[in-house]
Amino acid sequence: MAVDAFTTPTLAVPRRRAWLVSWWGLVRWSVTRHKYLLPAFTAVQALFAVAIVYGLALMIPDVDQEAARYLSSGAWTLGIIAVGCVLAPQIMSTSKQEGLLDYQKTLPVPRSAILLADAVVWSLAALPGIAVGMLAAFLRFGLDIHIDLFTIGAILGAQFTAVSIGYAIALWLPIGATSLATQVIMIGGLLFSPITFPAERLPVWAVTLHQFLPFTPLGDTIREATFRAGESQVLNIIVVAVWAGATYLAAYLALRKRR
Amino acid sequence: MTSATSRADALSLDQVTKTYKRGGVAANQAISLTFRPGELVALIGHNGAGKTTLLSQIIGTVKPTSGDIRYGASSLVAAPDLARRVAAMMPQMYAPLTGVTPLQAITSIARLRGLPASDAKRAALDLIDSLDIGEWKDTGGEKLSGGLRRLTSYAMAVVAPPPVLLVDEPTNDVDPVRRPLIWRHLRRLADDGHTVVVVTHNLLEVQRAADRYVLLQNGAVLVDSTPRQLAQQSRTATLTVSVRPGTEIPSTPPAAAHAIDEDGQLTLDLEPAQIPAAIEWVLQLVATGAADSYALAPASLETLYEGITNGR
Repeated sequence: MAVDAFTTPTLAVPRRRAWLVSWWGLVRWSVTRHKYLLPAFTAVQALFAVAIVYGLALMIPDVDQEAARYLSSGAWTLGIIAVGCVLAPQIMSTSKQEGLLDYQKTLPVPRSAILLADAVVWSLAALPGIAVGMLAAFLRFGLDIHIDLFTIGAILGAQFTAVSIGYAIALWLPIGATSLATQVIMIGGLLFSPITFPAERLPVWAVTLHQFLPFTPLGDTIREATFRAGESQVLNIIVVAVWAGATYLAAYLALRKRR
Repeated sequence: MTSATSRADALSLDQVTKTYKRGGVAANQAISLTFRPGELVALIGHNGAGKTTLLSQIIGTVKPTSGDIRYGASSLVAAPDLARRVAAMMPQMYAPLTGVTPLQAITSIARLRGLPASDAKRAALDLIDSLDIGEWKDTGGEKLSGGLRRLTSYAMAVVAPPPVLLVDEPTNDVDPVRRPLIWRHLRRLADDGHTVVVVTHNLLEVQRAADRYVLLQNGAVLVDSTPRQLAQQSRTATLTVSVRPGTEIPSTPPAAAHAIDEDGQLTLDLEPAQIPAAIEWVLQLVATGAADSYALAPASLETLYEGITNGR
C-alpha cells in the first residue's frame, strides 16, 4: 500500500490530439445521443420549407416571379435561422442544464471542437430540408434555381452565422432568458424582417436598421445565390461576416471562461 | 532516475486560494499539498468544505484566485489544456447519459481520450465487467437507476486513464456489493502509478483503501495524514452498547467519556487499559438484560473525524 517511488510505474501524459480527431469523436458522440431525434428533425425541416412555400403563397392571391423568389428563398433562410438561433441555443441550454457542457469542458478536447460538433451535426441535418424546400419552390413556382459553389457557400456560411449567434446567446444568457431571446428572434425574423417580402414595404429607418442586423443580409445573400438577380452582395457579406466572427468569438470566449 | 522522474510527475498545489465573489468567503484558502503517483488520497470534510472546488481547480474548470497548481514543473493553471490531458474527473453530478447506453458512453469517452475504436470498446467492456454492470450495458441512460448511472460515470472517468484521476463521491447510491469493486479498482489504478484523489463521505470504506487522508474544513487543510498516523494520534477503542429502552444502567461505565444517543446507543471511548474492565461490565449488562448487544472496535476514521471537526 505504501507509495514507493522506485517501484511505482511512471505514466506518460497523453499527447495532444489533432483537432479533427477530437472534433470527430464529439460528432460521433452527438450523433449517438440524438440518433432518434435527428431523422425526425430532418423531416420537420423539410415540412417547414414546404409549408412556407405553399402556405404563405395562399396568403398572397397573385404570386408574381419576384414574390415567388422572396417566398422561396425566405423559406430556406427562415429554416436556417430556426436551426441556428432557436434549436441550437435550446440544445446548448439543455446541455448546460443536464451538466453535459460542464462535463465536456473537463475532456481533453479543444473548446472550439465542442462548439462546432453539435453545430455541424444539426446544420448538416437541416440540409435535406433546404433541398426539399428548393424542390418545392421549383414545383410550385417553376423557378430557375442556381446550385453551384456560391449557393452552397452561401448556405453553409448562413448556417455558421446563425448557429454562432444562437450559441453566443445560449452561452452568455441565463437559461430562462435564452428561450425568451430565441422567441423574439423567431417572431422578429418571421414577421418583421424583409426576408419573405421586399424591403421597400418597410419604413426607411427599418430598412437601414435591418441592413446592419444579420438576418436580412443573410436572406438577401441566399436569394442572390439561388436566383442571380445581379445585385451586389458585398455589403451584405461584410455585415454577415462581422456578425459571424463577433458572435463566434463571444461563444468561444464564454466556453473557455473558467469560473 | 526513477525517483527523479516520479518527483517530476507529482501534482503539487501551492497556496491555492479561491474566492468566488470579490470580498466573499473563500472556498479554498492557501491550500498547499503534493500528491504523488501511486497514492490514493481521500479528500474528506463537511459539505461546503471546498473539496469539489479543489478538484475543479486541478482539472481547470475553476481558476484559482491566487496560487499555482503544477504537474511536475508545468503550471496547470497557466495551461488548462495540459490539465485536461493530465487529469480525468468524475463529476459529483451524474455524467450526462441521455440517449446513450453505458457501453456507448464509456466507449465514446475512451475514444475521445485517444484509444482506437477496437481498443476503446474492449476497455469499456473490461470496466463494465470489473464493475459487474454487464446486465445493463445496452440499456438507455435515462432508464438507469442512480447507482448504475454513478457506476457508468465512474467508468467514463477511469477509462483510458490519464496520470491523475479526480473522483468525486464515486460510491454514492451504489449498492454494498459493488462499492468494494470501485474501491478495489481505484486501489489498482493507484498501484499502477496513477495519482488518485477521491472525495468521499464514506469513511468506513475509504479507510481500507486510502494511503492518505486530507481533511478540509472551511476551505483549509485541517489534517493531512496516513491511516497509521491517525491511529497513533488516538489509540482509543470504541465500545458501543445497545441499551434496552427504559432500563436504568445499574453501574457506572468504566470510562470517562460516554454518551447515549436518541436511539439508546451508548458509546464509550476507551483507553487500552480500560478495555478489560469495560468488557466485564458490558457482559454483566447483557446478562442482566439491560443491554441487547455490544460492539468493540478500534477508533475508526469516522470517530476521529468527528472528534477533529467538532473539536475546532
